[in-house]
Amino acid sequence: MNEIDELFGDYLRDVPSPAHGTAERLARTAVTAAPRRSIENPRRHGFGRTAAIAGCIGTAALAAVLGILFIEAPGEPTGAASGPGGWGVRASIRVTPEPGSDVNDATERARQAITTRGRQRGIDGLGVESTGTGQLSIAVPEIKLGRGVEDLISFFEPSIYDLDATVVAQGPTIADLIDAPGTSAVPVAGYYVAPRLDGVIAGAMFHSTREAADDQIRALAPHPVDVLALPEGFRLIIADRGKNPPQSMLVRDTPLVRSGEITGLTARGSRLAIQLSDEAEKRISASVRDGSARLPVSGLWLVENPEGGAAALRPLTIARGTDGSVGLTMTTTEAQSHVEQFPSPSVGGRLTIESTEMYGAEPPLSGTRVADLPQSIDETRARTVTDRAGNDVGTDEVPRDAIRRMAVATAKGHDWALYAGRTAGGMDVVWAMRDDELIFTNTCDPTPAAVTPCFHWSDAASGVLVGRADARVVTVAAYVASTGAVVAMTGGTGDGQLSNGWYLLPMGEALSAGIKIGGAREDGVPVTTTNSGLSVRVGG
Amino acid sequence: MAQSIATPSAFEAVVIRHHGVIHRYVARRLGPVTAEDVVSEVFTTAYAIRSRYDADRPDARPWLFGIATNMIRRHRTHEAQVLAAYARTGVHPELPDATNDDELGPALAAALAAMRREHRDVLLLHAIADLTYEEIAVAMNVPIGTVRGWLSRARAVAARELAARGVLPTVPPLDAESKVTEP
Repeated sequence: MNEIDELFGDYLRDVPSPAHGTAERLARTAVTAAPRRSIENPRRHGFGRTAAIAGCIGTAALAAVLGILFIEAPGEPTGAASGPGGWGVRASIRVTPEPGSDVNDATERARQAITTRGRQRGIDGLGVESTGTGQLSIAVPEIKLGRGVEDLISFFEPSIYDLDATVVAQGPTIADLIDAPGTSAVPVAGYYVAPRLDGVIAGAMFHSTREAADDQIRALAPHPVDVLALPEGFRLIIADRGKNPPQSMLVRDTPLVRSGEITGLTARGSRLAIQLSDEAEKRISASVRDGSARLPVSGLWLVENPEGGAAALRPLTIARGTDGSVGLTMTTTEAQSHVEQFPSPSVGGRLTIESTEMYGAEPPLSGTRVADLPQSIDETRARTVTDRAGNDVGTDEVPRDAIRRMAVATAKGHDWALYAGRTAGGMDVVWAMRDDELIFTNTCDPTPAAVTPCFHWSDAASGVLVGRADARVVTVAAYVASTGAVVAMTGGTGDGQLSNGWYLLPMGEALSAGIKIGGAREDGVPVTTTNSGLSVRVGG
Repeated sequence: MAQSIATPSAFEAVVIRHHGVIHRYVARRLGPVTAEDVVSEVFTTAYAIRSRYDADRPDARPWLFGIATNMIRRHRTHEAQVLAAYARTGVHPELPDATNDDELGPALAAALAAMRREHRDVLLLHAIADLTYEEIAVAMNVPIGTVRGWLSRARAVAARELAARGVLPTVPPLDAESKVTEP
């Protein structure tokens, strides 16, 4: 490196890093629809080691792990939410308020926030009731996995830490945090298990007991892991501060701004503006040590409150905007996603699923029975696809005579078709066809939203988007996340089809963009998906 | 990487390992908004063509940077517009809170805008992505001697442009381009 190189090495060095979990979401969707090629890929519950490691990292994958647990061991429901007619999942939710918040207030705010989200997503028949101090019962219609409940109660509720004042130890791995100053005589609050990839920390999973941590270590064996006994009153933060490797930090759990004091988020292009309570605003103002209106405030970091107890850090500094608001710059889609995920009202606590159970019976799939299925479906029967909970499903688990044609379309010079069928275990599998040739196959479980995407990132060049929509949805559209430009739709001038509760959207010319799926009900109410951040490349 | 050819799930580790560094590189060249889509496409493409990966190479990083560089070229008009706007106004169109020095950031953008595309590629792969000459040669699929030549020319143009803006005190003569030293 010479002087010139070093100057350019500093060019835009503080560009925002991708959101925590972005890589994991990308990685996970990249391979879920891969054909079965290896005997290392077990048929069911095959959450392989690589996937398990990835699962340790991202909240999405972590939720997938939780989803497996919910399926395998649904506890007895304690909730009292009356199950709406039909079928779905009933869950018991524990509300743990953050320090400084009242449990009853947090429980009521959580009830309101879940109800609001249900309304935004167009979920009719969602039941949410308080069943005691810090307890909610929730009944979600027309889903069959605990993962769907997780979708509904997962909020983006950040807090703000002054790292200059709270970090007590840091290093490339959590092993560097053991015996940090001031922690030796402190009781243990739990255990983090952190696998390493190429010698670098690859996230961390929290366990409340040593036994659970040991189980995790055995599950990851022989992959190298580090274990940290978390001292009470401290928090683990994993930070990608713009350079590899990411740093792990042990901080005193004393946020400058609690999540309950963040009253709202607003996306203005790629800028996320943060609205604060008056008290929090004063504290932030007092912490702006350089007094600048534009420069980032050194040491103040936005920290996510992730699921499962593991702490993750948004590697972004807080900056004061020219309009006086506190905020930070990120990608446009990311900012929009955070706004969508912010609870209304803010909860000021963590929601945990204690138990789930299915109620009612899911109706059989409708659609048209086709005597002569396309040959390529038969030829590709032995494939492994993965459901949203991380379970592997063999497509040949769907009885051949249970496969139905759900939607067809003629567009872009091709005949398109969507087939679906259900395994004995209740998993729905889809086959997307172009001119009777299989384009891709996936699982497709209904989610707690009116529109569900059933395609993945690895289906990129397929040229078609497929999914399911509930009976009240009359229009489904795919649009570019960053611009809102519609690229395919059903009805009107669109080439797509919506029938039997499934949609099929043939795409036009090659397109490289983050895609969202949205729609509208007959009454004009817009509906969105649970996976609005899905980013795929569509077209050839 | 090689393992992912036979076992697709192994590609997860490739994405997780390299996503951050590829994203930062693309975001510094195109801005975070565009980077979002480009990086998705980088890994989509890498996954689709992973069977072409040279399994003898232990590190997938240069190969991924090569794909990223090709993707960035598709956005060369956007990159040129961003560089020009940043150089002219001092405010990055996608990063209004960018923290480069008030004079240095726009000056660097002006210098980058003045370079030929391939010269800019090698300079930024070296200066931002920290690739060695050999890794850049792999990434761009050109001989290592070509990398040396392009990098030398990029440095010369940069020195001239930065000096013109008063960022560098001296201007190396352009005929010094061929006098290249290893990093």
